[in-house]
Amino acid sequence: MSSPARPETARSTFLEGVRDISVLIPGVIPFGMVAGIAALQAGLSPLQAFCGSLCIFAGASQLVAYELIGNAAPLALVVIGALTVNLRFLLYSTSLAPHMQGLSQLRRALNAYIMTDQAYAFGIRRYTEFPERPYAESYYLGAALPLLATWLLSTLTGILLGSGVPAEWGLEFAIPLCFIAILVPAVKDRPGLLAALTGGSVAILAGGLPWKLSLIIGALCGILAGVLARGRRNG
Amino acid sequence: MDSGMVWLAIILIGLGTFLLRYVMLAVVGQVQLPARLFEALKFLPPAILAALVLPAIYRHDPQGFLPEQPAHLLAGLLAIGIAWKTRNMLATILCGMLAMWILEIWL
Repeated sequence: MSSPARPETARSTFLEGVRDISVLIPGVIPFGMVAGIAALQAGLSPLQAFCGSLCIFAGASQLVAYELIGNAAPLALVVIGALTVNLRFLLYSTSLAPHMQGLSQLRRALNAYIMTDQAYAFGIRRYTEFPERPYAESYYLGAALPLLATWLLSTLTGILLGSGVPAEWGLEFAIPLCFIAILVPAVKDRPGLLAALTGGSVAILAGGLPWKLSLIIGALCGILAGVLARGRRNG
Repeated sequence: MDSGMVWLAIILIGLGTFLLRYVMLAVVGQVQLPARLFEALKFLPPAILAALVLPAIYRHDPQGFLPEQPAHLLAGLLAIGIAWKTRNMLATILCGMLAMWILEIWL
């Protein structure tokens, strides 16, 4: 993201976003494939598996939904469990909102649909660190759209692969491994570590409850532990 | 869950996720979230991801606390170490799967 010699255009800024996000694309491919595989494992049809990625476009919540569907959880719990994972988007959109205030509601809606952890991280950096440079929205689009394309193509690959691989391979173990790869960088400090350890331990202890209720209970206890730990540290 | 319910779940989660992404962009300048909610939401990713991961790699038998699938537990712990060192999703998944396959044969 160095300062350019030539005058910037919407197109050059869009391509800059594409270039910046391209280093993250190889990491998204296995995640998308796992999302496709997990959907089939939970009993979804290939079409449902693909539409899951298209409609929801948020990997962790899709995996939660598939896990709950596979455990025969009732509809309300599947929806609540998946949406809980996505509450973080409220944080992202709140922080992007002042920068997108001038856009039409349609453009804001499009920018919302393609919002991901990665697109947010790159987009907000452009908005806040280079406020004087134009076409920041093009940069955001350039960062976000390749992720959507990668997500859909890799889900499709996972669906094709998942229906051909024998069950003895234990391919479903790729699902927790995928979560480990997202979890570890999400633990940024001691209160975060405490939140993770509490959430995980409570989920294990509550494992006997029906419909994977252990997931929501574990998550809530983990958040509480994190908040208390932070409070103690600050107070 | 039958097929119709699965479609309903996909549509409802899709709609809800879109609203979570869109609502603050739509109402910017008019509504503000309480700061405490913000603080709490920062702990959501580690808490919920750990609640997914730990029970998946450590499933104990109903009586005692011995792991039912020691290969999964050991491969999972190894994957945590690799994720810590490399921060690389592909490396984490490949090494974890490989370790699980080897341990399954071995144990």
